[in-house]
Amino acid sequence: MALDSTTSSPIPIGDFVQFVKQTIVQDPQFQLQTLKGEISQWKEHNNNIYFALRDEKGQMNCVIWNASIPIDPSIREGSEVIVIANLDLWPKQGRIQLVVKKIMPVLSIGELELAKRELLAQLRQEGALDRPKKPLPVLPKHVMIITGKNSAALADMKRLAVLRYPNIRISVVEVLVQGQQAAQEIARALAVSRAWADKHGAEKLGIVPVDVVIVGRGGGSVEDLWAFNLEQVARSILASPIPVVSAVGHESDILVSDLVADVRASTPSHAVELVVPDRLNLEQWLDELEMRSSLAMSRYLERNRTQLNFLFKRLASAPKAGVVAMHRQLDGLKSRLSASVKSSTNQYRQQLIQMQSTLNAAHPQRTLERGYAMIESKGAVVQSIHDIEEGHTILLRLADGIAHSTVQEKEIGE
Amino acid sequence: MSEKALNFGEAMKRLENIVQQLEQGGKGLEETIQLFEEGAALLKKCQQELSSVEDRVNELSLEEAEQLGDSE
Repeated sequence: MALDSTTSSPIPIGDFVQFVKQTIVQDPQFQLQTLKGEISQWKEHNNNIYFALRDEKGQMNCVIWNASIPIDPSIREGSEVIVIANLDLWPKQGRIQLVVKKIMPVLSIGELELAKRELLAQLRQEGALDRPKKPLPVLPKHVMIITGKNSAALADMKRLAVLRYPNIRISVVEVLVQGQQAAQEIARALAVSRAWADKHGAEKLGIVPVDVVIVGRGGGSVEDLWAFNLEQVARSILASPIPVVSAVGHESDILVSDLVADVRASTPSHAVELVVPDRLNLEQWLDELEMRSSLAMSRYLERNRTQLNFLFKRLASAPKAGVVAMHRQLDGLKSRLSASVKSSTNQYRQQLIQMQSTLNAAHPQRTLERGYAMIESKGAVVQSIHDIEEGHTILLRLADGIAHSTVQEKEIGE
Repeated sequence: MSEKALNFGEAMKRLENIVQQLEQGGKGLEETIQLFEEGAALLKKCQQELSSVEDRVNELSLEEAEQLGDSE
């Protein structure tokens, strides 16, 4: 239909209204607009909700068809709200109205504070505030950082993390950290961290499981930081199977996220200091332990050398006391010692080599070389006269050979 | 030994404990060698772990991170 002022024939009003409706509906400027105002004349009728959105400069009728969207229970007559709505025209009455797709309360700071206090009371009652905190891993394998995209906080955290531990593995998930969507996005990112912390889940994704999460942002106004006071964020922190560090830059008020997290950091950088170890420190600490353990071991051997020598000598001069079994045990010790030698320091190595030669001296062969013989029967070392029977064949093992012998007579000792 | 199951922090704690026991002394040869062996193995494991963590800082949008999980 053409609308031209020169057209002579008048247009039926119904057609005109339809035309206006099409124009409005097709114009993206009028669709899915985010609008703010105060609610008046809130009415529910036939499952539809009607109200006017107004402020001091104007107002417009709104409708929520079929009560089709979630409505915060705090919304009532006079509430300040934000709606996302499409402009529409109702042809029968020629009335322009907003079809509301989403409605959210705008809380004043006072109301926000009240909501926060209520949430804290609820969490306290549930025991969520004094639950046992999960300790941070000493050496995290995979750190997740949830924060604002391209933020100064993120830049600081990355720089500091790499400085402290050059080969740390970090996954950054970028979210909105302020505004209406922030809490939801933070909660979604925390859900990702839960999936990635799961061993099987991580395996499927081909990633190292996440073992610690930092969630935060730089400082800002009370309103800017408010997402960190919301239940959605608190609940998803509480649901985390791995430690969560709350890292919001602020000095004054403590946020709900600070109270429910496993660790509270005063700033994002502080969180990195807590989570990412200083590699140099760890290495020094390991070096020190290595030195201390070697030193302790060589002292032990030194202190016990005479006693050990004595033991080995006694052992060597008691050929009847299960020499073979002892031999095996010594062999075992020896090979384990030489394995230890390989993994220890030079100084200590010397001590162990000496130890080995002591062990060698206890080899049954050395005893045989001194003129003793070992008696074997049926493949075992004979330790008792009761193991021998008259007429049976026994082996006399000497240092340089074996004599096959027959027992002529046995005499049992006292 | 359950060494494999220990994470870095636990390994370090155990190591510290082993070294203290060695320093205190007073144990038999068998036990002392056992402790020393365990300590040496833990040291090696910790040192390897320190140098094996990969250098990777990954930046993902929320949607990318979520999709990664969905694509499994």
